[in-house]
Amino acid sequence: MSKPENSEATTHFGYQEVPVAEKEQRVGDVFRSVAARYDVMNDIMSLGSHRLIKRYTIELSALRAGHKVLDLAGGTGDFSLQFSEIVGPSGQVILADINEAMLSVGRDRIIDKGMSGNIEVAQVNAEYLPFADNTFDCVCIAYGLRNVTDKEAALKSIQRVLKPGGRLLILEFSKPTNAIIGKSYDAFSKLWPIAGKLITGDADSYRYLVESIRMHPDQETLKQMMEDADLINCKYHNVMSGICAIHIGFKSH
Amino acid sequence: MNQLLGSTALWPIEFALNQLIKSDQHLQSIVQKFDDQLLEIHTTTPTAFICIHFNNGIRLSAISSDDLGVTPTARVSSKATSLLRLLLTTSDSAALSNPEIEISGDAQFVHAIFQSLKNLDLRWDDLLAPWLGDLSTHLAKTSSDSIRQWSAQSKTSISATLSDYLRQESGLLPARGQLDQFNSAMDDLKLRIDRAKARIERLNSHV
Repeated sequence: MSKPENSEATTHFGYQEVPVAEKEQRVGDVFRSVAARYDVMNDIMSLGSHRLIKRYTIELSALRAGHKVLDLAGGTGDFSLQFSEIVGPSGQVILADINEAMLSVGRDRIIDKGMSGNIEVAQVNAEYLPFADNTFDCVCIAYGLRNVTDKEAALKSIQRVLKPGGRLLILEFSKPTNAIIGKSYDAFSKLWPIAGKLITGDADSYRYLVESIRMHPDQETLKQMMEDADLINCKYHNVMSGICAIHIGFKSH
Repeated sequence: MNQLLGSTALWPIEFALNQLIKSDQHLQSIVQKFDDQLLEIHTTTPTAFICIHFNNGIRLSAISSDDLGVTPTARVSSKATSLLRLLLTTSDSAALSNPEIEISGDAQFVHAIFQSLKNLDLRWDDLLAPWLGDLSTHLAKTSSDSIRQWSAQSKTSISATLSDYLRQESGLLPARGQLDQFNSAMDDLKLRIDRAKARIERLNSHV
């Protein structure tokens, strides 16, 4: 682990400690590099299971026609496309991401599928959401929170834009609860940079992905962070023995 | 983990149902009637759970409304066999009057779904035609019709033959008239015993 020489505040970027101001740019570079092949790599790294997990997450959103949803760190628009069908023409989906390259892939995909009717695209920073208070029935952030520099600020910002009674869903890699599965998963994830090099020509981005997963808070810590951000009835569902976890929290009425 | 497996198992079923709905305008209009309603079905033997959300089609889920924090329009609890039998019954109010089926919430909604299922007129050959081609579908349809007709005829024939054999040849079963006469005599005897019991009780109370 390398420490920067200056004394300014630092945060982690994978296993490295970097100045806070630098992390956003570094994460941006990672996602700009992988945007074009992001979905293909997801299929390879998860052996297709991410599709099942995403469907399960969508079920947990309990969305209905007419709801307004924020798909935060929505990138290539996987969730937005499905949310769009559920909320229907009377609802609205905002596909938001900090990274313009990921958003560009997502926006093109939405247009290609002819589903732009109730989906808006916005480039936003999760720590400072540019939406009015009490706007969304549901905010979903899938595989995005670990890349946010100030997670506490992002959770507070999300809590602010949720409607009273609205729900936050966080789908993220987490800590395996089974030692054998944990070891197997560790071994498997060491192959990701190799696969990344072969498919996208970029091993470093996938090395960051593996490291950032290890550095992400475990299930209980993230639940506590959600409660600290004034979300209530927080709970989590472990998926595949905790390799991923879906956290749910509500804004109080 | 169970919920994830349930969700995974329901995915292809949901996909198939929604394809069916999209391809049939009549079915679309039926499903639209239930838009934004949620039906929870619990079955025992085998134990299973399914949540049906009518929303721009059908969405199936293995997550209960309690877990989701929403209120279902109606809940139906029953043995799986009772629910299957319900689909074959001709009675209009069977869903509401069957003591084996427990309904909570909007009973009218459950009744309307039951009626719609009963009145479905699905033509599976129309659905298969775009995939298999007209000729293959026609062959499949005629083969299926022949098999169904042959099965129905065989069932009727075997049932009649077996019944005749058991009554006439082996003498194991009585004739229908004899059975009715015996049942009537039993009912009469039971009635007389009940009356006698009531009379004895009345006499005991006088003593």
